[in-house]
Amino acid sequence: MLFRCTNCFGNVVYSPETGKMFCPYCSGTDTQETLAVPNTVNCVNCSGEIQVNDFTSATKCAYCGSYMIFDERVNGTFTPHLIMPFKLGKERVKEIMRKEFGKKLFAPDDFLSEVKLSTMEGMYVPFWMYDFDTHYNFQGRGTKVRSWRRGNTQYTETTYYNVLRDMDASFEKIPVDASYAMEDSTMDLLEPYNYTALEQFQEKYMSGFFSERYNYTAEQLEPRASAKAQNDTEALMQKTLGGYATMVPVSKNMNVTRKATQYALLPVWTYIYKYNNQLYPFQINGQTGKVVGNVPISKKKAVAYTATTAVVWLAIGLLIKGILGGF
Amino acid sequence: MRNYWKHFRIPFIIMIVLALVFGGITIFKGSKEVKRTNDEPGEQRVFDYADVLSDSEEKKLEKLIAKKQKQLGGDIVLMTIEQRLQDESDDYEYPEYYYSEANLDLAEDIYDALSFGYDVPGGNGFIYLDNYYEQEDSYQYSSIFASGECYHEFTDSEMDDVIADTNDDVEDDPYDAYCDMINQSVREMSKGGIDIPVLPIIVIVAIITIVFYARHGSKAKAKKTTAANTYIANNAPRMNQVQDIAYDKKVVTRRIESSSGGRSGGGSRSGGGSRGGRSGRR
Ligand SMILES: [Zn+2]
Ligand SMILES: [Zn+2]
Repeated sequence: MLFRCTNCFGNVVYSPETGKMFCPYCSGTDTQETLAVPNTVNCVNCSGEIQVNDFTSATKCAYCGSYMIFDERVNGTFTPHLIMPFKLGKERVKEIMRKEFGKKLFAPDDFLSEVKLSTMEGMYVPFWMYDFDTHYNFQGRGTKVRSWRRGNTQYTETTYYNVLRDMDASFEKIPVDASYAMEDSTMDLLEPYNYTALEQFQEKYMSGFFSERYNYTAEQLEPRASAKAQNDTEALMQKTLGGYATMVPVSKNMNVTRKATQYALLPVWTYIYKYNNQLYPFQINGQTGKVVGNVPISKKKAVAYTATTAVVWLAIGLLIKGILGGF
Repeated sequence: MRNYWKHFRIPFIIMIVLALVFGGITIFKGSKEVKRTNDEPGEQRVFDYADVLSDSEEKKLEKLIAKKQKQLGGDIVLMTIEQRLQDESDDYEYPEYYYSEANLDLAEDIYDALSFGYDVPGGNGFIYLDNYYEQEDSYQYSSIFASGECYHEFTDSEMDDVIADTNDDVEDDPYDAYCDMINQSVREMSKGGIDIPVLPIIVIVAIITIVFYARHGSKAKAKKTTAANTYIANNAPRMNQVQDIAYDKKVVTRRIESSSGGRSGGGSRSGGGSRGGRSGRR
């Protein structure tokens, strides 16, 4: 689908700032009509050749800059159940990046330059969201130690406990990214999203952004989600076992039941900065603005700043010594 | 580079201001002269009765002393002697210090007898009395006696340092050793401020530098912002059973050895008035 302006035939995109469809060419609001995008070979606007991989579901034409959504990749089994529309626009994310890294003095000069930051693109990343019920029965032996002193005698009292726990936990929408290109650990760090902003899938939210359909099925990714549920359940159990000096488990039984899965698209901004022939990817949560990425370090700057810091403060220290000492 | 100047603006300004203060104090101190008000002792300050200095060396020392006296506002007297100190240790309060005390007393007597004192006879100044006679304990003794303001400015440990440093060099080159003695004494007395050791400054600067580097060079990707209960309905699991049943108890006792107290001993001496000094052996 391609959203075209009925006034000027420009490409209408979704504006995170206003939550409305916007034509950047004539500044019109909600002026769109839709064109079908039946194949992934040619741009429906300019007929230019389009570069896509097997999973691309929305992209930007390299020739005319139109954003289009490939109908066959958002329909049928590929229809997302839910979408979280971008809440932060590009300008807002630039501000966030400048605030987050502006004080990193060792970063290369153009790391936060307008030109480089403008290369940022927003992408809807495919996620599977799992609902799980976990049941955990725990039995263990614990000790508590109390120590006191009377006269010249030290008393140490050890009490032995049978510790019994039984817990039910209902997990809702544990997210697991279904994109091969997105690094799992990075996607995990972008969490959490505020799910109240999830909506029924609508294609219009995708206009102006890149997207992929899921690269893996829900079954393929279930082990990762299940592991998350089990780790969290274990951590919650540990919280109830405080106050013991030692704890030896006697029996642990955890059952995990998958209840439901949903296919969702979540908003992620990506900024890829190239420095010394190395790529430094930054991912920004398109809803909360949380940034995940490693800042590149300019060795020249690091040496200059660190050496100056040492020299200046040493000079200040010695001058203070000289003045106070009356030499 | 613009960021560089911006970042170091404040430390640079602090550094420049301190450098100006430091320079100002240095010039002020160098130009300061104290007028003398007591002419009784005459001109001579170097009395080389032990004959360890040449005539020209004595003259040069006199010149140095004349210059330093104005800066110090106190008389500077150097006397070398070869004199046996009477052993009256039985009468003395601290027999083991007898010779050094006797040499110091001698220094005080000489200072008073010759009416030294920059402001008034017996006033500001100090005398360095170097006794080359090998006493019965086979040591030679050197003493500094300081009077008036100089007594307050010249601390015991500073005097000890001056005597020790002078004794180290005096055998090889007495002239050089005495020059150093005069310079060092005046320097110690005109310090008057707080002496900050260099090591803590270096440690603090090292910490500042490490913290600075860690802050700006840190490579942490991001912190985890989810908790174990993030995806749980109502943020809390349901607890069906929470039971902690005590079934056994053991008490272990242990005797504690009573610790013995330490002993502290030793004594200290203090002198009264604005007069006093230190002696050292060599
Ligand atoms: Zn338009
Ligand atoms: Zn095109």
